[in-house]
Amino acid sequence: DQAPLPIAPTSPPISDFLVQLEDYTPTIPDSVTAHYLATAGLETTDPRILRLVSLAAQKFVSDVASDALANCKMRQSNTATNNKKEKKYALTTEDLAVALGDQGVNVRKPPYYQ
Amino acid sequence: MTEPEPTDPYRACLRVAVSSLCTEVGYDCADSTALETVTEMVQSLLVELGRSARAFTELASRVEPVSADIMLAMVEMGMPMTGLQEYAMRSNRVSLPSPSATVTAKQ
Repeated sequence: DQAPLPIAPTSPPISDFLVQLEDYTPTIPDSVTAHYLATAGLETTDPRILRLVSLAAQKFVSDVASDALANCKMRQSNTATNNKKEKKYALTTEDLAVALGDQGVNVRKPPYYQ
Repeated sequence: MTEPEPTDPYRACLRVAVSSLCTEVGYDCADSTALETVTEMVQSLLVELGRSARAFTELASRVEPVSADIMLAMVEMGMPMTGLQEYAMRSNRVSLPSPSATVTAKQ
């Protein structure tokens, strides 16, 4: 029942959120976001809009990365034969492919080079 | 994708941002190809979000986008607004300096 009305019930918090974005610094710099939005023809000078877009992109990256990391940890615990002192987590295309597969994106390793 | 050297400064900055987000999640290092895949997808997402938001802006006969246009574009792309505020206020976030100074110095 909540699916058709995603905006209406959350309206007051979102307007507060937009006010909070006035003095917020996202990881992706405003100028970078502005450049890519301008590539698509969206020109804006409102920093809140840029930051909203930056946050959306960052959340996507973080969600995918934490999915991939969970995958990586699971794989490492399954093959727990090599008990190294330092555990290093590396972002690999294999983990990424699984994490992105959940989002409906098909990623494959390039068949040649590297 | 094969040559990371001659990319534009925006792309390089986006790559750094993706790297710091991965570090924040808990990664120690990353494959170059995997990082480049994520960077490419973020770039694609930003451009697509811009295109969709512009369509909503122009549909409403405006030239300047308002935040509702962005939200509509996000919802249409299947990115829920819920959780975004909590994500924004996470404790261990990092922010990068704006690349503008470096860019002007290079040219």
